[in-house]
Amino acid sequence: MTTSLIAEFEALCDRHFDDIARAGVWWTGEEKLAMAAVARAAMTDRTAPQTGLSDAALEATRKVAADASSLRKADIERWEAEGMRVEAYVELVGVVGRLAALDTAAFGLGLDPTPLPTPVTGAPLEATVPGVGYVDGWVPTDGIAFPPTAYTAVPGATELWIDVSNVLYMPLEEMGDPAFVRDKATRAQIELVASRTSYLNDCFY
Amino acid sequence: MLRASVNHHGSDIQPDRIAGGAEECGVEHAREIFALTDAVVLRDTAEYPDARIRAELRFGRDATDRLVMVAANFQQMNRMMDAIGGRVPTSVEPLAAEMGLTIPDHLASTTA
Repeated sequence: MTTSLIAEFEALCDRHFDDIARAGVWWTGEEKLAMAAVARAAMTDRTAPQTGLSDAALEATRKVAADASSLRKADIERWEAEGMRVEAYVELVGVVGRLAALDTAAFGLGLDPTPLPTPVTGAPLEATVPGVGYVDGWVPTDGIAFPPTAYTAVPGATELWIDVSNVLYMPLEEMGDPAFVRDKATRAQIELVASRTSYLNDCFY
Repeated sequence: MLRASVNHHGSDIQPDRIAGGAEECGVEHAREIFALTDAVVLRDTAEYPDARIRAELRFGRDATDRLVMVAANFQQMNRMMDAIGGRVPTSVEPLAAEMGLTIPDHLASTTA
């Protein structure tokens, strides 16, 4: 990996593990780090560490990390019935998704996974977004549920997703360009990787 | 976008070959791309070194790193979409059929 790519990826890891260590909107830094630890273990078939996560949060973390294609709306409704707000679930998905991306990239680049940092003390913001609703999806979104709206029920979560996507994949403004080339990888090669990854994950989107 | 980008280079994609991991899917040197993607996504420590070297020899180091990063990004994207229950647009159904796949009822949409 070239120096610039190393620096870009390490800076991305720095930003996101720092964020995971801090209180978010519905979870403390300690809880988000616990999700990251459980997700990391689930993705590598290792025993999960003991955490203070609720049963609902623990099950949701494991499923999103290692068995996302088996998720159904009934799972989310059950976790809501057990006391986990749907917005908290959305934030959890964001934490686990970013962890999956960063750990996979580290493996593929021949790097060690970033050690989980020490949690930063602080309380969650507990802020909601007015105007979101259920539109062709299982969670509230600002408009129809698709990638750019997936996390819109949680303030700031979309920006975190975009940051990862920009660095690892491509800037949003380039999405429509079939001739896009990045680091000498053509758009066709990039999309073949995307398609194959989705196939391996049993993801239809 | 896969089809559009392949068409851009005057070729066409063979979607069923993506599921099968075949070389002749419409994208040049797909075999190396599939091997690299599979090793990275499945974290196959046995297959990864060979897949990585073959990809570097074929595409160069930077392009190989970029392809790894794209696979990593879709580890995030796939989990996100499966977890929020985003419906698959009906416009994707023909492509799924070409791949030999059927979109499950819980993800089917009436929206194009």
